[in-house]
Amino acid sequence: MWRYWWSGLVAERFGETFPFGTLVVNIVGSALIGTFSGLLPHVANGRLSTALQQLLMVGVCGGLTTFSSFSLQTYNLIVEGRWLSALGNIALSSGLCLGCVAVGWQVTQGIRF
Amino acid sequence: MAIGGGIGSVMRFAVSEWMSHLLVWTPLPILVVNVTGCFAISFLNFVSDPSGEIYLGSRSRVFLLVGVCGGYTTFSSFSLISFNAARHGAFVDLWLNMGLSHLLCLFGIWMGAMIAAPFPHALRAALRLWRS
Repeated sequence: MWRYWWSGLVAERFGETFPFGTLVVNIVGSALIGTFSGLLPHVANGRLSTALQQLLMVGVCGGLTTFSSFSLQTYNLIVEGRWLSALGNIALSSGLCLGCVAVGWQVTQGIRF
Repeated sequence: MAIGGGIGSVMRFAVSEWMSHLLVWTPLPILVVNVTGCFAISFLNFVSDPSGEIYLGSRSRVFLLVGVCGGYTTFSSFSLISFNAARHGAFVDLWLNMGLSHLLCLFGIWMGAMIAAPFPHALRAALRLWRS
């Protein structure tokens, strides 16, 4: 739901020329999963059940982000002959999401548990 | 759509759990999930295109495409797996995961589009056969 709302909002602002909406939700979800992966094992003295950890990472982050919409949008860019945009979408999404996971995780490393 | 997302997430969990027992390569379960999800979203998208012959209301399309397929596939888990590979110096895994994911998922999209094109005709032919 958030993904649809955010994507729509971003699409309205920046137009449908580039799939910024999907990029934004993927970035946010990646930052979240990075934070969770560094944080959750330490919450409540490590007594947070693996089920809950899974729920947060698999459910929330996994549900927020999407690979299918991203790929479909990349494919449409290719079909329209916009190769540069397609490659840019792949590079930008992969790079920024990887970076956001790193940032999210790194932030948790400075916390004293 | 939230229900679709929930269904998609549960399906993703089920598939990745099942895959993790089959082959021991960390990125594989999510890779399988994402490729199958890309095929699904592409097939459903092109087979129910408003200009085509098979009609699927916009609410159904949103439910299936944005909800189920969107919730089923994941960019965050893919990114986390890539990050952990980089963190542990497993750079072959990192690049293999990134390369294979993008290539195979785009291939899945293409396959979905290719199969969706003749699908209405095949369906009608099959129904005619069944009714005769």
